[in-house]
Amino acid sequence: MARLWVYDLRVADPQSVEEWLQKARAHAVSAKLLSDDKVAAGEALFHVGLGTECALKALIMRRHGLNGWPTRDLRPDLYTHSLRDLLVLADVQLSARDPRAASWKVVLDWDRNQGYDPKPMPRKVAKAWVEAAFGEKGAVTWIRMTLA
Amino acid sequence: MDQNDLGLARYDTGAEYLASLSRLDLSPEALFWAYDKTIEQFVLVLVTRFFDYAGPLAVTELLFRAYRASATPAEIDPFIVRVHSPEQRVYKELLFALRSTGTIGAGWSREDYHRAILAGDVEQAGVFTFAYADLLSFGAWVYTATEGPKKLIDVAKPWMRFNAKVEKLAA
Repeated sequence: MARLWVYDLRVADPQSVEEWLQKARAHAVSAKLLSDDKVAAGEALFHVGLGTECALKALIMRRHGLNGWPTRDLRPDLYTHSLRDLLVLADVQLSARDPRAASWKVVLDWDRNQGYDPKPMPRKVAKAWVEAAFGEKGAVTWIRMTLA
Repeated sequence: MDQNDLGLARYDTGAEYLASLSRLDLSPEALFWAYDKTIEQFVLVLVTRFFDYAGPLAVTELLFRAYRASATPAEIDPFIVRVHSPEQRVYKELLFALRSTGTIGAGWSREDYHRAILAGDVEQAGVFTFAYADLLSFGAWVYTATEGPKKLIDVAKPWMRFNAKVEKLAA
């Protein structure tokens, strides 16, 4: 009988604040490149979401005093893609009075049925999402400044 | 939270929100309440051509500024306002559902009829339940849903007026 080997394949999660921020930077570059493309602009949103997720995980590491990314067994709550849940874990309080409130709101809505199916997303719309995350008043930019 | 019970107070506040947008020269293609199953709360869905014209960030920024300037009702935190484009599927599905059944009983004004339904005094005419992705809505929760202007000039001028009015209030 053939023997079946089961490997414990783990996603190579970043292990430090800097590594999470590096991943966020890569997503920012991807988002900007895609938002320039007439056909693929809408795909930039995917990188907006993931980039924000990475930045929030960096913030969580700092605020929780973590010296490595915990395994799923130890901290199942950290294994989520929900930006709203990650915001709570990062202890970020959002207020409508915050000058960056609009950026946060747009970023939080990145996956809220924003598709133009079957039409491609206009580049102007995709660029607005990129700006909301990685622009001067963007959510990820704020996280970077907080961590600096 | 009962996802089927919008409540009269919330309905009335939404109507005030629509009136305040109108005073600011934003005439939405659609405005309606929906229950968002993912975040488990009621959200006010605003569909506007400004979304594609100026981008969602610029529209959202002005909605927050209007709120901070007390030009929109204090009860509606802009974080619960979901802004969409009329080119997106959620709007097209809404129009399709409305065309299929309609929402207003004969002899009623829209607002009076919706309030009577929410108060439990009358039954909803037709069977209109609107479900799209994580949103669940009902006919009586829809304030407006119309085909708006599509020409660029018909969007550009109202956008400039909306922008100017909010900027003036925020100054």
